[in-house]
Amino acid sequence: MSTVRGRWVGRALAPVTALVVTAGLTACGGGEGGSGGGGGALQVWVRGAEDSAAAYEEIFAGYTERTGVEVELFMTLTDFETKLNAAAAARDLPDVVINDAAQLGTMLGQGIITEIDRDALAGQEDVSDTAWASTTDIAGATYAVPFSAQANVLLVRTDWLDAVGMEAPTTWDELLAVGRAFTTEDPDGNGQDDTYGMAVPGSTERGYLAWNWATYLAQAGGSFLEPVPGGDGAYVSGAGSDAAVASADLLTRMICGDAPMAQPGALNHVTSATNTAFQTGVTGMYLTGPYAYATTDATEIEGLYTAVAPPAGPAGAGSLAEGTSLYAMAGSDHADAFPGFAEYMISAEAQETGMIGVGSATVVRLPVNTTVDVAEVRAGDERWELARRVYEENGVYEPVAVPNWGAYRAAAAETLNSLAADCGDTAAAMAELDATFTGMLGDAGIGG
Amino acid sequence: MAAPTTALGLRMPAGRGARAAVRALLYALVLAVFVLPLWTMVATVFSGVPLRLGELAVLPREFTFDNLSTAFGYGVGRGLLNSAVVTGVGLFLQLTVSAFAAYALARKKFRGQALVLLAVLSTMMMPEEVIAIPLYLVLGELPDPLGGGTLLNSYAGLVLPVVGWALPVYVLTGFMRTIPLELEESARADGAGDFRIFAQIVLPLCRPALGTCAVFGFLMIWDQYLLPLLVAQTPDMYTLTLVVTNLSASQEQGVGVRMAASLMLMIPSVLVYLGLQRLFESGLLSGSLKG
Amino acid sequence: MAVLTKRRETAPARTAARRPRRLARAAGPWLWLAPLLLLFGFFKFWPTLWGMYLSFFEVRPYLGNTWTGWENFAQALGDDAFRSAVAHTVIDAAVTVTLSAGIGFALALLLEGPARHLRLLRTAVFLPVVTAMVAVVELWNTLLYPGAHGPLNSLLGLVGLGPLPFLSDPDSSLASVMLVQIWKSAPYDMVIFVAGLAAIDRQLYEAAALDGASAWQRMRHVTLPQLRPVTTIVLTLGVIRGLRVFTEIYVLTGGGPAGSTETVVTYTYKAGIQNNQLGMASAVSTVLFLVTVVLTCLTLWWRRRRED
Repeated sequence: MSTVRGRWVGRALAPVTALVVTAGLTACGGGEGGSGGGGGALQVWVRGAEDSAAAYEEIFAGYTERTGVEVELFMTLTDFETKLNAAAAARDLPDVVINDAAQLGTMLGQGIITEIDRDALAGQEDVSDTAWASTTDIAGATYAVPFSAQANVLLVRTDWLDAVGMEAPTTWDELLAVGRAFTTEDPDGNGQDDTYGMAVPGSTERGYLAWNWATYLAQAGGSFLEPVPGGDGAYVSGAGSDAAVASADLLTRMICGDAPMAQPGALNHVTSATNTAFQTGVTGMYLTGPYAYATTDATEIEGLYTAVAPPAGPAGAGSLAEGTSLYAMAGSDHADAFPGFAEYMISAEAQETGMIGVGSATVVRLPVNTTVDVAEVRAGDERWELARRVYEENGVYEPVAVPNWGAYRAAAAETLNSLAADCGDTAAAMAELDATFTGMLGDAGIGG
Repeated sequence: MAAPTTALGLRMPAGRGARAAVRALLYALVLAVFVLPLWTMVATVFSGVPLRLGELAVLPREFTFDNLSTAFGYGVGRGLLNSAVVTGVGLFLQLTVSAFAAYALARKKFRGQALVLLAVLSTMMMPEEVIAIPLYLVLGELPDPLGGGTLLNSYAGLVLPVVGWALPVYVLTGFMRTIPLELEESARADGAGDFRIFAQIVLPLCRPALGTCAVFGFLMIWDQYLLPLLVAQTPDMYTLTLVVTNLSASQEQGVGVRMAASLMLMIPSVLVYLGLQRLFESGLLSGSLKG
Repeated sequence: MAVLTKRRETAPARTAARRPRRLARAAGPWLWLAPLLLLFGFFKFWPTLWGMYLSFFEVRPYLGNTWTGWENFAQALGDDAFRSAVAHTVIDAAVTVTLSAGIGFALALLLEGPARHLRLLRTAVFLPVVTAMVAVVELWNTLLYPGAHGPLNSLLGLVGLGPLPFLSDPDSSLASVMLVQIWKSAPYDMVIFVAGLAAIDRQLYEAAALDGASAWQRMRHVTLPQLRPVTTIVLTLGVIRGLRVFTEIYVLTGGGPAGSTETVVTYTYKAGIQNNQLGMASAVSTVLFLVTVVLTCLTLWWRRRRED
């Protein structure tokens, strides 16, 4: 401070210097950040929860052992699409994404997945055609590799059935009767009116309610979108059909109306709350995937419930078939590693590890590899044999290949959610959805 | 003897039964509304009885630490550490940067001052929720000063975007303007430079306002949800809010474990508030928010 | 330093130092401001401008962006869901801000004072404010469980009311969200009002009392006018915060049921991040930004006019 010049320099630079110094100091305490991308490891993002990470790690360990390629796993259940879309916007996608088969059309629409040369994959002939069909776009090109498959089953509390003196439902009428009995006849015997028939994930988030509806829609003989025969990839809306109205009526009347049987709050619930409703004795039935066996067996009601085929509707048996697929992402630095990765993932070894490697997380529900014998791998658990039968005999996929399929599912969920919220006119609401679908198909240039 | 006067200048006759009773009743009501819900959270965490969907414990039955230990098994420890680092560093930088800026705004006259104030104000209208996608793009462009790669999935990426915040700039500017100039002038006459005046005279006088800003800043950074959601990619980078929301989407953990994670999210901010309470309140009293 | 010291003694060096000195005076404030402005530039202004730019495109990162002009704006403004989201946002902001301030003021009247038990009560009541929103939401999600066995419904049941559907019915969902918001923000307003009340000169009360003013008159003519500046701050900050409400709604209801709690920011978030309509989401963000700017400028202008 002894000079004029020194003073002004000091005065002017002081704040900046101080900031740099403090930033430097704090940096030392900051720890190390994980490396975002690049490097030699194959970056794999998976939508899933908790213990699933351990199951995938186990499978990837086998892959790394065989090929020497390291895998960096990122996994989240909440906001998976948030992260994926943000990464897409930044053109910084992972190499592989493992997500629902139903994301096919959405990711196609974004242009973030690449075509797969199916015939070049060793072992592709062992994968069932049904599973391959779920990874094909409307023009017949393959855009993903199937990894796991399943169809929905109905979980029912056996002790509650005993308490109300009924059998597990096999038809819609029986379903409603059992649901009503569970709601009104105090099946848990605690003297309070606090039990309900059916756990329903009624939120519109990710189109949950439409996902739940899909099984009833199939049982009524309907579908979201119907391919035009010989129409060269054109579709017409199925949302206005009698089947759609009947199944929407069945579902929404479980939630609203004179004799609701869904858990309170259903219209805001996604998977976790709905699971909890069934697992903590709030509801006595739950239409869900067989992955729920493991999580439910870890709760109080282990041994107190059974799995049955979803009750048949007017058009017979039917169940929403779904899968988990491997997607090769655009802009990957490891595109050449994908075939080897996919080949390992569909191998019997990887499929079995995915089924039973980590007891609490069945990341492979039903193997897509037909050489794997479910009954043998799942020895002693007949529920899995049931799941296989339902999938193979009655499984119906959504039209997941339609570009931006997620938007259709979201629109259906919005319609059903509103319908169930005010118990409005089902036929009118479905007619409106029908018009929406037709408009969306037209905008996409694939209208019939 | 004069009875104590309340805010309204009402005389409160001490010990007159009916009034005291009404007051006590109101106090109880207020506590029931604002504290009882938080209490049920604590009770649920330490309760070993399984709860159904939609149930909370009011008294911990079958006292247990299981929920807490399960929660820690799912990354609550790492989340706490990350949140502590991010909040500690972020808050320190936030106060520093804001105090610098406030000093210039309160003590200097320069062209463009009004423009700067307007710019600062306008940032209040650019919350992360609104600029999430482009913000993510920007974070992917900027290099991480602490290592290779970009700001994505880095501590710097979690910290830097929350450092600049309009509120403390306003609070501190308003407060510094109320500090009389005489002290600084005499120091300047003694040959002290700007930085010495700032560090040795202005900052110490700002303690109450800094306390207020520290409480608000802590809560702002500690509460961050969307920013870490976008920035953190690997679980070792998750802040506690992310751990809590991930646990609540869990299909396996009961309400007790989820509440345990929420409780861990709550405790540090309560401790910080209790620690800074006197400063915080004297900051408010001295008008730092009247800006 | 030694070199510089020597220079000081020579006259030419002195004049040479004068120019940078003037420069320094001009640059000085900017150096103090530089860190803040740099941070704002990178993490606020740059993304905001980028978002405005994207508003005019159909954004598809891997397929190339297509210029669409005002179409994104037209699409958003023509969407019923967006219009009702705007209505919900305005209602939510207006009601929560007003009720929080009202309840906060009542709490301040009840709990203001130096007594130890009042300090303790104030601290306890302030706890919801310092609890992270994510934790608050997690807790209230269960408290508001719509079944008869839900905690709040059990309480209502004791007095023969309910069960209420709270978040699960479109008619009560927005009100339920607002209940949670008010629970968290009313104590915050209380603290600010407590500070305001404490700052009022007690002699004003004495004087009013000597004039024979009743309690109500003292409230109207002394307390409320004295609190006006504080109230303005509480309300302005509240409205700005209210317009961008997101976390609590997103986590509590996700905007449902039947879109009854959709707000502008949850709508934007869903459009942009869940449904990949990045361009449309950017357009909505741009509109929201401009509206907030206009509202804030109006408030400032109005305040200034009153003060003059």
